[in-house]
Amino acid sequence: MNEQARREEMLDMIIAMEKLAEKLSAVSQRFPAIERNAKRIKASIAMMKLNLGE
Amino acid sequence: MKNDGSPYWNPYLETLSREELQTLQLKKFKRIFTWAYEHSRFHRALYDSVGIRPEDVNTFEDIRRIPKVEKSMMRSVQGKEPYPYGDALCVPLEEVTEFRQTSGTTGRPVYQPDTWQDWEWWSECWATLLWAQGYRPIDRVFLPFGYNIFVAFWAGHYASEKIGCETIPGGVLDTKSRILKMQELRATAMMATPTYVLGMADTAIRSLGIDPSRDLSIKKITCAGEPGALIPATKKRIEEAWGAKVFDHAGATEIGAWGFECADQPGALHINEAMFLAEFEDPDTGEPVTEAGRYGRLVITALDRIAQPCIRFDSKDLVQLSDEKCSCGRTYRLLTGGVVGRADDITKVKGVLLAPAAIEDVVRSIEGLSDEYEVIVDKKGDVDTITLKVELLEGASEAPSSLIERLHTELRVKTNLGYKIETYPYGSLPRYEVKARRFKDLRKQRSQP
Repeated sequence: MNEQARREEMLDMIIAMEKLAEKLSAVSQRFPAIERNAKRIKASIAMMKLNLGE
Repeated sequence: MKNDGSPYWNPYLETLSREELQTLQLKKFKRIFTWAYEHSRFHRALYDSVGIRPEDVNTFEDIRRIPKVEKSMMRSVQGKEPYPYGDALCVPLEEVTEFRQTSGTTGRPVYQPDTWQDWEWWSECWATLLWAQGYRPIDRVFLPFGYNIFVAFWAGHYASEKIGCETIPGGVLDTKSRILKMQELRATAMMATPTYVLGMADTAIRSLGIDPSRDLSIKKITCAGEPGALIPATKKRIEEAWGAKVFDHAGATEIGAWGFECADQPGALHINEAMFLAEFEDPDTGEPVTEAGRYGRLVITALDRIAQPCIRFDSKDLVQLSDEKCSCGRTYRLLTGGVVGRADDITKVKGVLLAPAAIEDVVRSIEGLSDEYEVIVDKKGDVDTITLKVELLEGASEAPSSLIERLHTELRVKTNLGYKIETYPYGSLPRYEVKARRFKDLRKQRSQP
């Protein structure tokens, strides 16, 4: 797999994680122990996107 | 670990072509500008005042028309609602998870809010530089700094963790305890200001009988907070005292960690151009500077910082542009000698531009002098005077005339100015733990009401 294809594959996975984290955030209202951790994961996901030039 | 073999923290961004980098910078600049325009009344008012809206920003020339932000503007906007950040804040207060403030060297401190995402970004920028300097998961990293309201090495701590290093917070310990702890744990790397690194070596030898180059295991030192690690004589002194490689890093609370020296030690700083847009202006005319070799005042944008954006911030750092390619393979632009001075400190004496870093390079290149010195610029009648106070080594009572003569000659060659030189016994001049204040321009103080 060439580098660009590898980056695209990584980005697809990151976007899938982002959607999952959004969903988790939404369903975990009134459950701070999950909601705040999901939010924190979203910050890391944002950083991974930046690291791929997004 | 297979990733340990990668010379780059981010093999993609750090090796982009110039064209790809510029495309990325433009895309990101437009995004952060739009973000600030839509979420901060301070930024919107500033840009509306010159009639620039997000849709007007499409080229680097467009960017140059955007007003710069100065520290004084941030001061005036703060202390108001949403308290204490005021109208420059771009996120709801409940999104702010970190507070830091500037040191207040030049006036009332500026508050810096950050979100979780911003803090991830801070540590990401630091991870880029630490990795470039050779930090790897096997390292045991000691941070001998006061963990407090100043950003200092906080992000270095988190970046060290992120890389996977064992990270030791040397917070409230005194200098001797820090040295002993580093010895006990066989720490392999540390981060501190150049002044403090030199002071630690002095304390180790004098108070503990420990020779850092022989008795400690430190092999990498990352310096920040003040110039020094890229001043050749200072770098040499630190490297000899510690038996370690010394690397420079540049950043600021309001900006972020924007520059770093890589393990190849090219005598220059790389700008992290995937995360920052650096522009350069002639210090006198404000015209754009693009040619290699020229000095410019750094105007910088943090392209991804969201809570309190830093857009075209006048850093007041003076830098020298380079078009050299680094042997490390990174495509990020180099700045020769790093930050060569602050616009506030670089001053005209007898009509000649004087940079304090040049004096430091001379003083610390001369054996027989301690690391400490002080420069006092004053005026007698209509004539500017410069007094250089230097310290002899411990036990020396008088400076040999050859030493003073050499000092005069090298200062004349390096700065084109004459000095009154005063020598003092060891231990007479002030010691600093964080940012040193060795340059005093009494002419400025006298001119203030």
